[in-house]
Amino acid sequence: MPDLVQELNSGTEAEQVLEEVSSGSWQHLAPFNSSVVAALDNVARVLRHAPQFKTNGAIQALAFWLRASRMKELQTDWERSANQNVVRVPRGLVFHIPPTNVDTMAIYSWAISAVMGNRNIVRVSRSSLDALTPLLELVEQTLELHHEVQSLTRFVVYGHESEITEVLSRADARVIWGGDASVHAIRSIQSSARCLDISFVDRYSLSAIDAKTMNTLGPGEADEFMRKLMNDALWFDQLGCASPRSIVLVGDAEESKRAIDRLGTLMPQAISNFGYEVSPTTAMMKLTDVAYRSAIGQAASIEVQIPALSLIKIQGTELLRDTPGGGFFTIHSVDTLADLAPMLKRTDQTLGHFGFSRQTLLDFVAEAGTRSPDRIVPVGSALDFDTIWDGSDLLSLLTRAVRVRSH
Amino acid sequence: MSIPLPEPPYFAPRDSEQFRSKLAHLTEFHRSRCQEYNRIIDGLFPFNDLSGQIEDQPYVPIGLFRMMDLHSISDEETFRIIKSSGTTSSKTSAIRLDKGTSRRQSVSLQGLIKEVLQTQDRLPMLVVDCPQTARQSSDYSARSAGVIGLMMMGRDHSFALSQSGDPDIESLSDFSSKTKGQRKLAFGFTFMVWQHLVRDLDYRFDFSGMTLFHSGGWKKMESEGVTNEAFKAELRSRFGDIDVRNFYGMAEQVGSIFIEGEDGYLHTSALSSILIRDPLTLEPVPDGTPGLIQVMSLIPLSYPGHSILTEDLGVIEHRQSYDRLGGIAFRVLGRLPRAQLRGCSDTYGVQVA
Repeated sequence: MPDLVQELNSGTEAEQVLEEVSSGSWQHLAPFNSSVVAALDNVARVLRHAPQFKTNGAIQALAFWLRASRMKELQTDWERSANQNVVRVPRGLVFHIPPTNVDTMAIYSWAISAVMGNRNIVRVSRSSLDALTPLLELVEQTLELHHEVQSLTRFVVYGHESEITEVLSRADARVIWGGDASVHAIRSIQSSARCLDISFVDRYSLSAIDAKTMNTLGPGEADEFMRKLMNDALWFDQLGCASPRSIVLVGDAEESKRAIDRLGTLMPQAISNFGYEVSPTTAMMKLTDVAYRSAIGQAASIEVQIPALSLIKIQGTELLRDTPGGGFFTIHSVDTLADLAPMLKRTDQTLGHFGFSRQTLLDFVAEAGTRSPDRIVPVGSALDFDTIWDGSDLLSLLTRAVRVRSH
Repeated sequence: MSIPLPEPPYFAPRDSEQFRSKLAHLTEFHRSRCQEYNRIIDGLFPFNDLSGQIEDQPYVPIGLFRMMDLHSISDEETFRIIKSSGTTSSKTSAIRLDKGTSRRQSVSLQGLIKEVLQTQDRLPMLVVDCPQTARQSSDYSARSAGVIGLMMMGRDHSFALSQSGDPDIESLSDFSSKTKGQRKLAFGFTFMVWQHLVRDLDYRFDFSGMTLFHSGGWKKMESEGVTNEAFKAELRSRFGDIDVRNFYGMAEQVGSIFIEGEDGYLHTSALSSILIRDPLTLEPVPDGTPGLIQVMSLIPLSYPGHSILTEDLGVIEHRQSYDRLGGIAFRVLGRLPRAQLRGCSDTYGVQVA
């Protein structure tokens, strides 16, 4: 375990950490202050050059996002929307509960909060500690050169002792990832009356593809498209909230049929090119799931069934949101993009699109109204982190608005 | 369509074409009677036909029986439901039996046991369980089904455990003296035999002449560091010259059990067979290579359980018949590990609650 991560065994130890992170001489860090930006930029550089992360797309994306130039862009947007009678100050102490598997989320959550001037305690679950350790070790090394930020940051690990969670919930804000169950569990542990909860609940994501456009792609273009689709889908075993689990083909019956056949032909190779592999346990789980959906008449046809990929065409017009991930895709067909709107629910977060004009997309959002997903982005960028996430503007939520009237 | 069971002897050399053909007919039989099963075959095995090799014939993943009630009979025809508690999940299988399949299960089990015992006589029997487990009902667990089924092989049953679940020393002692010098039969689940007759019992009894059948997962035994050899040795040191026979079976295929031979391996019979498949590709693997066990049985007519891909790992040791039981000799190695896919949904909520 890196020194940056502290094991907590009791409420008393948690209180001590709370005390340490809350005090310290640097009390007044403003949003986008230079010491945090510099620290994050340094972390970005270290991650980018780390040999063990050279081919890790998720870590490279994180590194790209932590750069000073990216922070500068965020700062410019932030200042542009500022009100001259309002000063935004940090919330104070923020307690983060990242999801157990999307390893990089722990760092995004911490970084965004730190850059807004907050002190941070980030809980790392025991089950993700092993996976996170290489990343945390590099962060720790980097922060050795940034004592200010180092003193305002603590990563902690403990089991499920609600006593410890209760102590840490004395923070000014809690950022709770991990889906409905996790959110309910943390919310059931009382926080201070002033504490703001920022929660990320169960979400579902999908891709919409214009069948005709896909069918007219040349071989090289098709491979590039598949690469992008796999980039959206396969990280985090397809279970990230932004990972598409359904593919909706838009077009007439004939174009759709050709597109489905094309997907069936291209996807196995694309999955292999990505290097995605599953365990025998996962393969068995997916086989059983496919058998079940066939048995109950939900699956109209099984296009591909191999260990790393299940691709099934679904009967009827309902989107399924209970699929298991791990390389499991359901295919649906609609005539026009507008026909997708009534199939959506509030849980739907990201729609990856391919082959539609900007106007079509805008019309679609208007049609979908309250059912519209939070993000409609090109296929390939589904997992790009954004400070507006799940409809929450994190930069605003992680600061307080102080109204100043001089007369 | 009638699919009669093979005639005994079940452990004699046999015609594998007969088995293959009967299995293929069972697939057709269940396809016409179970719509859900038919859809599975259409979806996962679109090129299936009656003439396919045994390796090409369809199978159902065992987990499916824990997700839905697959049956080829009506509610009225349902005579008994066997429930199995999955050891790795909280879901249970509910297997429907009609009188016909229930009878096929008894006939098969009795036949197999008697051939191993090499006697048609009903022997005095010791049940390594408590009396309540043997209570019949229309809806019971695989444990009860096993005990009740095996009890039909024997007579003058004694129970090794009292109602409270502790060893009944008096009962054990009486059984030993009453059956002195005679052949006798015993049955218990593997871990129960270990726990109650070896680990937690300070007494020794003379059970010479006993054939002890035992079954159940080895997982608990492995976690206590007990091998099959050690298990047998301990039992023999405490209870005299007894013949200890493991068997492998499951609630989803009651009756067509695979019994341990003198060679220490499990054996197929005319009623049931196995294939070993690569855990990832599901292609059949050569003998000697471990993989997932697929079990096939000619018994089930009331539910499509004649060809099941289990989550157990096993390996085929040989196909020679130098063991009296012949057939395919194999070992069960353990279960597929319970790895879970990670994902944005935390397990925090579940564990805190």
